[in-house]
Amino acid sequence: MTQIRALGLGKSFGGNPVLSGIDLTLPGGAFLALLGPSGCGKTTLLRLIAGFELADTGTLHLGGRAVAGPGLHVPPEQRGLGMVFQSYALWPNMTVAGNVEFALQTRLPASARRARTAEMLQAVGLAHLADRRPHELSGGQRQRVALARALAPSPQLLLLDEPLANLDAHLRHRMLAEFRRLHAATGTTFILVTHDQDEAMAVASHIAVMDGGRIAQMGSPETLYRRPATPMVARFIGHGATLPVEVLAHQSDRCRIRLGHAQLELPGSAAPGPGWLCLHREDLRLAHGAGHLRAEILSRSFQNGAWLTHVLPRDAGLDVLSLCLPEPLAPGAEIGIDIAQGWIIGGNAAAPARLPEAAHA
Amino acid sequence: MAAELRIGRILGDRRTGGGERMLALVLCLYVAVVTIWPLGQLLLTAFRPGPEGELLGTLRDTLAARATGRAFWNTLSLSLISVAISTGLGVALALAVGLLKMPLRATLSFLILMPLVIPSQTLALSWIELMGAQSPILRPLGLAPSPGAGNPMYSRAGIALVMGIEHMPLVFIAVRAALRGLPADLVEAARIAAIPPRRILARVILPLTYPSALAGALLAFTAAVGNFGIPALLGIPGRVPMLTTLIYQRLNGFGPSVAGQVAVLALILTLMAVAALLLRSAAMRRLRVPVETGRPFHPTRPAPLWAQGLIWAVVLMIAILPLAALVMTSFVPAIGVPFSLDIASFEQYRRVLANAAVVRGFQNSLVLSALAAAICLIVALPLAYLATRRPSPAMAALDLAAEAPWVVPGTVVALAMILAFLPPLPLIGMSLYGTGAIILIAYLARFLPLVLRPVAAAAAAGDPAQDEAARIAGIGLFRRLARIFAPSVAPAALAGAVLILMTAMNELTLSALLWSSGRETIGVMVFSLQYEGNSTAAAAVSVLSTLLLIGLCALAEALLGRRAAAALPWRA
Repeated sequence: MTQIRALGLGKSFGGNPVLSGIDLTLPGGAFLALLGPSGCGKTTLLRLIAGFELADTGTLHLGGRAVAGPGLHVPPEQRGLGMVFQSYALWPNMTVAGNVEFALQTRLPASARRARTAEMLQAVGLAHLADRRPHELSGGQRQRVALARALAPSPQLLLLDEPLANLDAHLRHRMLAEFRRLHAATGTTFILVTHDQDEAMAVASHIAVMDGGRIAQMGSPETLYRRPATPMVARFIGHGATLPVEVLAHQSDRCRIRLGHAQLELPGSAAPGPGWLCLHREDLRLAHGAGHLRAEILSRSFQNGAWLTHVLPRDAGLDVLSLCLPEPLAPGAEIGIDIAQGWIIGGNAAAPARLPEAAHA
Repeated sequence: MAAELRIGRILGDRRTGGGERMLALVLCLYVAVVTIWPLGQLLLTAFRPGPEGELLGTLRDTLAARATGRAFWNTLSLSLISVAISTGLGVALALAVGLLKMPLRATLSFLILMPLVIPSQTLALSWIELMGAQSPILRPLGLAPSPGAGNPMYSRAGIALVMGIEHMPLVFIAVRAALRGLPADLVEAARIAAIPPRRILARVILPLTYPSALAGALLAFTAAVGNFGIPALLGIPGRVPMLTTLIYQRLNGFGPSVAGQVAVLALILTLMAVAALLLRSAAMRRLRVPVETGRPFHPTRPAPLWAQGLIWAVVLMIAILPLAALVMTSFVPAIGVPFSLDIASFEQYRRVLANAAVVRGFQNSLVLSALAAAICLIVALPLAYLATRRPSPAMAALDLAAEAPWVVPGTVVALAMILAFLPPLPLIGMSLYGTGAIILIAYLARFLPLVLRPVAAAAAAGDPAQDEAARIAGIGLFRRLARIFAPSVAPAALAGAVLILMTAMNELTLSALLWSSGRETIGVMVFSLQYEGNSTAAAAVSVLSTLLLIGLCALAEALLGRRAAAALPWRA
């Protein structure tokens, strides 16, 4: 069943458009990451779904029920959602168990509330801290309380607003694993807002990359990685780089392009004219001959058992490329690079008209 | 040698320079003369042996006296009732202004804070005029008491009510601040969980304001226990003795011979006030709930019309009607004549301005409070500098001692001044009692914390590297104080000085005990005129002093500029 269907959602604050033309369809049980740089409107979209903001335009259906549209606004209380806030928003005057139980107030009778609270605290591994106050817990423990509280009423949809922003790197990985586990165990649809593409790639079944108040592209992590729709998406996902190219011909999902003096054929769907070549590290090889590209070595560092080398291509744009080499090469040296794979997009798809940066991230 | 070293340590460790030690020594002497010696005299007097040399005789006699017991119970019970009124009103108004969306919220806040700015004798006088038989507001409505019935404000209930209103802003400010710090996330998390608004209020929002409400209530209790203006104007004619007015009446009636007795009464007052403050800091430590900072909560629910009407009715009752009655009374040409537009005139104003004592009162109050503000400013700057930048046992003790005269009730400070400065001074052989100097010294002791607190807070928040950079550059202590430290704390210092000016201009508690003929203050003039039964003249002087105060507020705002003005008390 479709869990979320948004059509043409738009929102502006004080005349400043923050979201425009948001179309989104998400099946039930999915794990969607709303990904984008700060100010792209992702948190505003989440708050529109929660019902804390009123949409200016468009309609929104949750689980087949219209919740927002012209003349219609179902308040957050009646949307039956769970939400984890960036600050966790634990009620400081209640214990851990009190927080979970209070969230069940209107949904279950008292005895069932206690049982469900114990069950949820067990599920997030905090049963032994049930009587603590929020300020006596570590950041990771607070996060788990917030999760238990949000999931306790068994919502169809759980919203997570940058939930990992306040945790250190190590805890972040553990919490991501926890999100995956709880997502699988509950079957609830998750929507996670994040600006960190590694976080999104690690958990999501669907990713919507947002840019300037619009959804630039939505798809599976693999689609976004292999077939980005815009240069922004290409650069944002998987440490990608883009080089300006000229598309010479296009035939059945392959394009013939000119890059500097070289001509090559790569997958893509761009019409002849200006275009972009989207590259990842593993698409590049050290050439034994002249190669497709000449480049100057800028710097290198030893990472994950290989030399990550940053190079500046000659006559082909200003983007720095990175590739992994088995040997360290001296900065300043010139090398040839072969392009083994890549993805071509048309120049017209370049940067959609940017909306002004909004105060609400 | 070793002893010398240890004494040296008291003024600072080995990094403390010679000039700084001298400055610390001078400040120690100043605080010793102005604060420690007078308060010490009070303690010695209270613990003096009885007339036949019994141990603690004075203390035991006074505690056993029936008048002491009555005044103590009146003070305790009326203060508690007034705190209940302050807390009820303050919490309700703070919740209404903080949680409901309605027009003119800033105006409402300002009006609710009014009783804090109006001196207590003026507030008491306003209520006397509002509720009396000649009330210019109740009489036309047929609600005033009949002329023979007496004024209902001259009673226990009247004292408790006016004190409750006077100290309500203390609770209002505390609860309002707690609501300002309420993160919106906490409310939204409850809404997502489908908790109904009533329960969000009861279980999420209110519990976070309890500690602040309690802290505000205990502050109101301390203020009520030490209040003099309201019991003096309402309790003396109503024959309801309180500890502050009992001290005043005893000293006025019997002179210095009752010093021991009144010192014991002052000690009881001090213990009550300090106990409430200690309870407050303990409660703050125990009950304070750490709240994450976040996007602050903004009210979205528009206030229903009946709620807005109710709030405005309350504000009208506590802030506008009494002052209106006061102003209207001041336009009545003679006592006993009911107010009407036909007879309204400036006759009273002409008369009080022709009264030499009233004019002297205004002059004395202006000069004394300006001097007090300037001297406190000059003392607070080096004191705060040494206390924050060169901490030492001596400076820590000085900081604490400087706070004491503000913590204890004003009547206690005035009594301490009499005990210390009534005997002729050594060397010059002259007594300060009966001169303006004793009032000035009392002001210096009592009001120093009003400028020291904000300056010390600004200094603690400031960057010590500025001073260190100047030391590296070889700049001397006094030039560093004047050119580096003073500018860095200037907004706080100026706001503190303005606060002293305003508080000292309004005060009655200290000068009621310390004034002498020719050394009247504004507060004393209001009190004496009312005491003589000349209530229309008292009203006129009150109105004039309130106008002067508002003028000073406006002047301060204009002179200080936006940054410093934000630190002024009525902007809270």
